Amino acid sequence: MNTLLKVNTLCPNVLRPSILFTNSIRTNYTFNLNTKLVKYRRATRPKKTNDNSISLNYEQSQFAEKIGVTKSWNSWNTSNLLEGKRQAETSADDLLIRKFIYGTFHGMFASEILIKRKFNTINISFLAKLPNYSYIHKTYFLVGYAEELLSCLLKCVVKINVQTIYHKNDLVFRTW
Amino acid sequence: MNLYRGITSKLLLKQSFSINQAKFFSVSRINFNSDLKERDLDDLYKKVVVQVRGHDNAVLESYKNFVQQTSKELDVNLNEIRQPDRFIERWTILKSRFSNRKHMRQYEMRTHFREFEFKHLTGSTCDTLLEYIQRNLPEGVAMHVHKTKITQLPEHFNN
Repeated sequence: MNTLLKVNTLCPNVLRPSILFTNSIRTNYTFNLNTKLVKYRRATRPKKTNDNSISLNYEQSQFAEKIGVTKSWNSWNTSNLLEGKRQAETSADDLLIRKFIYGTFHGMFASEILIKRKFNTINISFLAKLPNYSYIHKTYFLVGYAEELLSCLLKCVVKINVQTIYHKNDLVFRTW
Repeated sequence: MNLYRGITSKLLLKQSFSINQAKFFSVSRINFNSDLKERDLDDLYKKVVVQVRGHDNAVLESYKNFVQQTSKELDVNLNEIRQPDRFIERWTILKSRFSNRKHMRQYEMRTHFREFEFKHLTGSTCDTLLEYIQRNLPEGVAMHVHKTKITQLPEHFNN
């Protein structure tokens, strides 16, 4: 579901290779960022405040047009490649996982949920901010519980990697 | 035949025999049974083409470096690395859920490719190499393997 790459416009210039970029990563992507059109874009972009009161982390500060340039995807699988299999099933499974994880670790999230598929293993990882120290044991229980239940539902090995942060301000990349 | 086997087993029991002798005896023992000899022959691959596909070109570039390093360390003949042209699947759909025909959005899924061509591998080398390469495959990267095997001509051709 997140593997859809959003392209800026319908203009034919989209495919034109960009010569000006010298960075090796950037030359691989032939994006033509048209500033006129970016101005009108509102998707994934919060409303700009005068006092810069909105704090964004790194992922949030890369808006939709940067997907595939400096921002990557939240789901990593081979379904949507050429001759990929189980496209709908993989997307539906990802949705289920996201909903389930969101409900299980409710109010702890400090980042997006990343889902990576490799062989028969699903790796789920996210950053968490625990309310207080007594939540450590609860989180360990929840990780085991979610792994067990998800692996029964999806019939494959599920691993959950949680990384905790001390303060939410640690992640602030940019104020907007 | 039994006599030879008896001698071999006696020799093997002794501690003081050289490696060359053991080699000689083990070879002569295989000659007794022609089926066993055929079974021990390894496959020969003239060409093994490994194609990897991914959405992110940078990931594939990194994986290419890994494969190059691996083939160098294992002393495998990595003949050629090709980069076929990418494939783009496009969907042009309405921006809104319903109506507003004039406002469209285009979404696309890109598939980038890398092809590694290995030459002149034995069966066991090929298995080891592929095992190692596949275990280190990053997420979101698919692999297709095409092997070209060398075989003997069928009997009706020989006659």
